Amino acid sequence: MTVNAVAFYVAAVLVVVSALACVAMPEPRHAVAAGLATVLAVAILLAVTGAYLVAVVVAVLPAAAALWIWMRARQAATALLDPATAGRGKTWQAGAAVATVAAVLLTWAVVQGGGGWAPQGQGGDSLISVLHWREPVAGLLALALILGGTLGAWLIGHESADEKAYDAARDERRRKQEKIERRRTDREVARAGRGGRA
Amino acid sequence: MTIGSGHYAVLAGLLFCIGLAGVTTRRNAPAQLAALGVMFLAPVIAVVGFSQTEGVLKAANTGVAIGLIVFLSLFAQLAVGGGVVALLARRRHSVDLDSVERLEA
Repeated sequence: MTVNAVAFYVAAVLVVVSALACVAMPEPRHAVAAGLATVLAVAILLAVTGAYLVAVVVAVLPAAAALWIWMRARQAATALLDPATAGRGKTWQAGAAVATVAAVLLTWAVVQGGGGWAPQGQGGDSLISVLHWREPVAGLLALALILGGTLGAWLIGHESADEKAYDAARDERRRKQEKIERRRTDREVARAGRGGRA
Repeated sequence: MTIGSGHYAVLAGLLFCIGLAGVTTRRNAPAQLAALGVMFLAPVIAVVGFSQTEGVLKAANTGVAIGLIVFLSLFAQLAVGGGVVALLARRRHSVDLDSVERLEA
């Protein structure tokens, strides 16, 4: 398929601008919104390229995940986007230096590449033949990735009943300990007061 | 003007570097995760772009499957990252990455 040059450049500008907004916007909620806009822009670019299936998946899956989070855990998600944590971290200069070095290396690689980006001619049996878009192996792998990722996220992120019970018991212990400390301090103050009068 | 694989390579490289800058400079964990997502979209663009414009990959339309699997890997990693951020927020009552100096349960 021949890619329309004008459509490609428009989509590419959208991708770059939204990605820059995602990195440059200080407010976390704006940055996350710009990240979602970048995903959408990439979906448009992939559609322009002719990979419609990937474009649909790229557009639908993150939007569905964001919608699910918004419906199920809006309050918790809003709390995570705490405006107090806006802006750059304290070691941002080192991070910016790493990104600059990566940019220089990639530029050098692109300049050295000279257009030979993918294998030409006919290859033999390889991973590519297994991962063909019509192969069931590719579909099963995709399903395993979705299920594995979702299950992993749920296992790590959810608060189990025993965790809740453990946290409650720990809080109760802490409160009791604080009460004992407070009583001890009060007794010592009272004793010191009586000693002073005597 | 013809769009070739070099165009996709440049765009993917640019997106990777922009995302990397966000990952290494952000203070808020979900915002850093969003930047990581931007960074991980670069290989999807590269794989799909190369497959639509270059030799044997173009003929077999294989890039669709590879691009799909690359994107789903990215999605799975971000989902696990989201879980870690939720855990971090619950345990430390903060998503400020400057305050995270040690990884512990």
